[in-house]
Amino acid sequence: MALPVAVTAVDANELREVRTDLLGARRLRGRRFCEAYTSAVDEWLAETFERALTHAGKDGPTGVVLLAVGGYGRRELAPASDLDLILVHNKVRGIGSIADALWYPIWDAGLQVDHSVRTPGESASVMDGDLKLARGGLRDVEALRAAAIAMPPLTEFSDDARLQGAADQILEARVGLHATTGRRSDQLLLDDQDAVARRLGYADADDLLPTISAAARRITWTTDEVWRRIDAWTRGPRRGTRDRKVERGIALHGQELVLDGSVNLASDTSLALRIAAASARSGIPIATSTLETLEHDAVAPPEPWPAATRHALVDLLGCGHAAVPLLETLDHLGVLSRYIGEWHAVRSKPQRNAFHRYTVDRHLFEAAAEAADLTRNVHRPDLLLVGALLHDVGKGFPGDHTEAGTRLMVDIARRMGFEAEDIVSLVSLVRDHLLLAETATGRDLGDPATVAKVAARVRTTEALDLLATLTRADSIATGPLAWNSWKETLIDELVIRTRAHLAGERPPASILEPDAEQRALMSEGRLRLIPDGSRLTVVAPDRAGLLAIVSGVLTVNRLPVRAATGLSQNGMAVEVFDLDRSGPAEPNWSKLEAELARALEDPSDLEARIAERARGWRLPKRAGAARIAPPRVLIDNDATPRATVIEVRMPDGVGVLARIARAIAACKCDISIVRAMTLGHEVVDTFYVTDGSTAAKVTDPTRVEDLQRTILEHIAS
Amino acid sequence: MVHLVTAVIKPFKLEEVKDALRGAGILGMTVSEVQGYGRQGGKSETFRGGEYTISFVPKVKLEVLVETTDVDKVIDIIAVTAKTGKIGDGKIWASDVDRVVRVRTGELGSDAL
Repeated sequence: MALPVAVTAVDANELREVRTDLLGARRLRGRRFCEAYTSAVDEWLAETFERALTHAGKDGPTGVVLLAVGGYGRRELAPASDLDLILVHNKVRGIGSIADALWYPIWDAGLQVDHSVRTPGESASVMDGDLKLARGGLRDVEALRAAAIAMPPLTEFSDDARLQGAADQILEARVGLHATTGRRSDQLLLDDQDAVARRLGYADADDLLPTISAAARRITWTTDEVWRRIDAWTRGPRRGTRDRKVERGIALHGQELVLDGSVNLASDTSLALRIAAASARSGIPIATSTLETLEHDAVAPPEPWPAATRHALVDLLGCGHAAVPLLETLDHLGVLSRYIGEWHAVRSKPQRNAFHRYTVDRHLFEAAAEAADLTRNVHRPDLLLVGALLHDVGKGFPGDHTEAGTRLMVDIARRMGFEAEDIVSLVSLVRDHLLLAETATGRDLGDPATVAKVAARVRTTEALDLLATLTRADSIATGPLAWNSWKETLIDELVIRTRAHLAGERPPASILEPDAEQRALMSEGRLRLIPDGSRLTVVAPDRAGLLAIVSGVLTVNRLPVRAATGLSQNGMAVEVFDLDRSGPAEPNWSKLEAELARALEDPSDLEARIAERARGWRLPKRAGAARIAPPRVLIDNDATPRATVIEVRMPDGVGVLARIARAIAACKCDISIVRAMTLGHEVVDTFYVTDGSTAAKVTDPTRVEDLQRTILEHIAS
Repeated sequence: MVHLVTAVIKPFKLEEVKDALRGAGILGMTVSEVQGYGRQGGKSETFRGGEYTISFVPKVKLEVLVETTDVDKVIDIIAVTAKTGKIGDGKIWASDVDRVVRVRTGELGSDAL
């Protein structure tokens, strides 16, 4: 470690000398000594801190704050007192060397430091740590109060009665713990929990722990919220910038996201979830006033949920680990339980076993976050994410948690407005969420009967992929004891064997069958547009790149495609689009038809216009913004006899369908069937394609590779 | 005299072996999740879509301290219970133990079991 040793030694001497002088001054007694000594330490420490930052190459706003707490914070330093210091940082690189450059001179000066280094948003909690030092512990409360003194706008947080109540709960537990064990340790260990609970007047630990974990979560949440604000505050206000509209009902105001008042939380129940998703995706915090509005005005969605509300939930969950603090926020505001009534039963519910590191609700958030990293492994990211969020919801109810959860999921999925077959998938995910892990470790994988049994339960490779991915996300979120390479190898083996067993039993994807009306239109042999609410049917003579042109024209006319199906028969194509029509105005369909006709004649400028639409204003991204899983292109020649199946899984964006279709056309392939879905912020588009010249499958490995590369290039641009 | 019986078995046999040993009055054991390979040299199988290889096979390792007079009985119980007759069933071995101490009481040898 490269410390400026000579310099620190001199500084350390300086402080020692000052202390000796102060001790020699007879008039400095009691509090007056403390005052004078504290000021001297302040001055010295400020300089040392400054130097430590410079030494680490940090200038200007650094995301590092040094807080005095305890006796030092109260300015009651006695000659031999420890310095209680907290170094808070916002995931700053090299924090270790800053800390060293700070602690060493203090030690050299002959002072003892009771120090800790913490990051806002670290996830360990008092449940597996320490009532004083862990996240959500008493030290966090002290740090909050110190921060509020330094930054007056934060007083509203530190004075919050609920925070005070939470701090009292933890303190009560700490006193009870010390009284019970007679030890100095602040760790509430499993062995002592029942005794501490009884001393405090609870029936047993199951009775006490929810109180403690709820209090710790309140403290953690407030702490995180405060550090987010400090972070925004140190960037300084941006004067003179007008509010910018981010999306419907949401604006960027200064450094914060706000509801712009144009949309009502009751009439659009997607709004509360959308602002959370926007915050998770960009890393920009939601304004305090808006949080209050959400707390008071957010209402339960109508049943079944509108599609937009369901998509917004998936969108939020798809933000992965960046979504966890926002989900915590929605939970604290009571919004989550309004959307999913069953949620109240798992709130702050501790899990008393060696495997789990989180309370049930936090485990569910973490499982959904892990699942978000794995969405490209499945054909239906929405089912994966919602399944991950709710797989353990039965733990809040009596009886076996899997059975309870399975019953609850039927009802929740129906209320959320999922279609019948999706409800079946979600219910199976909850019912079977332990199947793979239990079978892999508890059954003979070499026995064909084991594999046959699992295959009979999951039935399709799609369902197997969903279940395998949920199992992985759930296990990782549970903790290191539940997921390691040993278990992974066993589960992988089971999944591979089951997939082999299921191969060949793949059902055809549900595809469009033209009805009588569509067939009649197709026989007319010309371009027709048939709008019906948010659904638009386009019939046109087939040609290379037709889908790219039609979806491109929709994109440049600000009609985002949520879902599409299409097929081509006898030289005519029919395409059915579900459009995202958030605006109230009816599009001018005849103008659109004319524009489409022109584009079919000459599509040359379409690409540039799509690119221009895509360049439109986007939310700036901050530290902590969501990391979205990268796109994946799967090409399968075994799925059906006559076509190559291309499946593209990627995050949503402007003109995604048009870009992929253009890439396929650029590779001289014809699309015979398309099925496109947008699920929250996730896109899963499937294309059945054939070679444009031979009308056969694309099997040549170099062409397959070319297709893959071209699609990835087009969606990246 | 005390012996240490060590067994490497298939993971799914753990519960059965545990129950069988408990039935025979053997109350304590240490269990670890381990990976390795023996004569089979890992596995390699061909499924549709390509060959699938595991170089280290997941196993469970049991360690049981027993009175020397019980060694044969314990080995026998594990061997019978863990057997499937197929490749990869595992191994059992026993070794002399020089000394055993129960940490809590300081008891030695057989008394510490």
